[in-house]
Amino acid sequence: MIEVRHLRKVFHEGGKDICAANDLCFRIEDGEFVSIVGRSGSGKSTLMHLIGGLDRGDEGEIVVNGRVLSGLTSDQLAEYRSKETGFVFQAFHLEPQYSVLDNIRVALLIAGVPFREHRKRIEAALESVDLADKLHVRAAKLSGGEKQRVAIARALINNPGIILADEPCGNLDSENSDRIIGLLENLHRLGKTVIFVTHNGVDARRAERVIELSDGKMVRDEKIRDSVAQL
Amino acid sequence: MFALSFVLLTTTLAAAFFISTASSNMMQVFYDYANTMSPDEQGFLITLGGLRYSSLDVVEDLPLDYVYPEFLGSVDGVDFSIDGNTLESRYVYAAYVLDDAYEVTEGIPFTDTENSSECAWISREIADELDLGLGDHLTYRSGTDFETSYAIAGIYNDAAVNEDVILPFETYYRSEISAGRNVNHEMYGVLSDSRDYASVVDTLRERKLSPYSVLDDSFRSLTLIHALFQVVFAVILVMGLWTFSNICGVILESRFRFIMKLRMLGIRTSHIAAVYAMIIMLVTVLAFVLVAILNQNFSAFIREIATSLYPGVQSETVPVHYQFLVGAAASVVILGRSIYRLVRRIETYNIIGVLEEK
Repeated sequence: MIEVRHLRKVFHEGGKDICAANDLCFRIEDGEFVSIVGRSGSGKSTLMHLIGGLDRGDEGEIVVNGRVLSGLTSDQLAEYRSKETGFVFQAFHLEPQYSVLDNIRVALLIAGVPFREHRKRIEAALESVDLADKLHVRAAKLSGGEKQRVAIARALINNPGIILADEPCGNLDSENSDRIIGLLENLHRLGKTVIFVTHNGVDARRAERVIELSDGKMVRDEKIRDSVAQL
Repeated sequence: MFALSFVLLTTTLAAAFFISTASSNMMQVFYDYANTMSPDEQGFLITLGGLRYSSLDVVEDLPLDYVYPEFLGSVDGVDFSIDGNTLESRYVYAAYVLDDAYEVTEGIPFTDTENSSECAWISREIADELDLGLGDHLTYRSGTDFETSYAIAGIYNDAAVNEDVILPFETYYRSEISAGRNVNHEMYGVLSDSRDYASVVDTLRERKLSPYSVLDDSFRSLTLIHALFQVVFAVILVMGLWTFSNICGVILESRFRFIMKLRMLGIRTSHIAAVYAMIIMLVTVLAFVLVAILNQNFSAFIREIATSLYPGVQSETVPVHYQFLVGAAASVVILGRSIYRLVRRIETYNIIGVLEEK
């Protein structure tokens, strides 16, 4: 379970204070499929980064499975990112000169998974995103959709409980976007908590719950359907 | 880039060590040469100005192989007489040893031991002039009322010099002390090792003596040059390590986004620092090893050149342990700073901020 309690985050830019998270309070249960929507600058990505342990809030708490993230040390936060979350970015953040295999292997090395298990797990993850034939292809040679699927495979590789996707379809065409959202739905069906940020209202409504932010505040928290998993 | 930085580091380390090694080996050869410089070639000679024969305990604790008065010093203010007739205008000396210029043709060899107590040696010239022979006695008068006699124990040829009477130094010394007078012959010390020269000189000066050696100026000059060379060594060493550290920083800067991606995936800062430390230590150690091998050959080359300036001098290659210790210490400090700065940067920078930079 993810519990956000009175979360506040302020950025200081160009002499101005920008409140990206303003007293946010909500809870996400295990296995929920949530989309976060809002205009540019509403604080969607900041919220994802805070939940993903990529940044720290100024006030308030984020409690994930009973652990308060703000109380974790740098190393504990790193372990949280490695083993409990999988992050997918709009910009993919793959290493272009590495192969698909090596891009995913990095996550396994960081998590301390024995080397003899790498190949099997990577192949299984690529199978789940329908890229098993791209194992040795350099990331630079992949299409946008393929890169994002590799990023999803990398996010899954350590079997985290939470998948966080920040505008995963931002750089993709509609066909690939549909495919990516479909993959996220599959992950939700597998019991993972999936939270994704999107500008696209259609994509957003494929989740079972929509949270809308505006200027760092929650303006809407709507349950769309009981569970996509049951579909 | 690490290969380039390895080459640069090795080159500067080699330059630093070669400079230090050249200087150290030249000094070593000079010390070894100095050690051969003495009348009997047993060690380095140093004049102990102001030291009295009666005060030898002043230098007892110093690393001097032995201390002795000047080989031959004139004796002033004493009268010699034969059968009551004073020998006028005669040259009288006290000697510690006599070299081959004085060939004793009659009597016993010149010696300054218990057996030579109350003995004197005279020249062939004065023996013939005054009709003196072995066993004759010379009366010695010093001061106002001290008088003693010496038996002539030997006669020597001294065609080139004018020493008429030579007394063994101990004999002369005891007589003068008995007469209540001081003996002011110059004292000499033979240093066990010329490398102790500077410290011994300092100690002697503290004890109000005036040490001197014919190599004083040479010692001073070479020591100063050696010291300058060590400073140059240290400067080049530090500059080389600093440059290497900065190049490593540039390399890291070019990979900073990648490092932040790893951070995003959950790598610990300590792991990044450990890998970085391992790489730069490996490059540094390899550079030092290569320099050590090159330096060994260079050291032998310098020693050959130096010993060619001093034929007959045997000299060992100078080990450069302390230079490597200095290098190791400097490496730890400078490269440790580099690692610390990396850790600070990683901890300070926002992961997303770096990843989302255009």
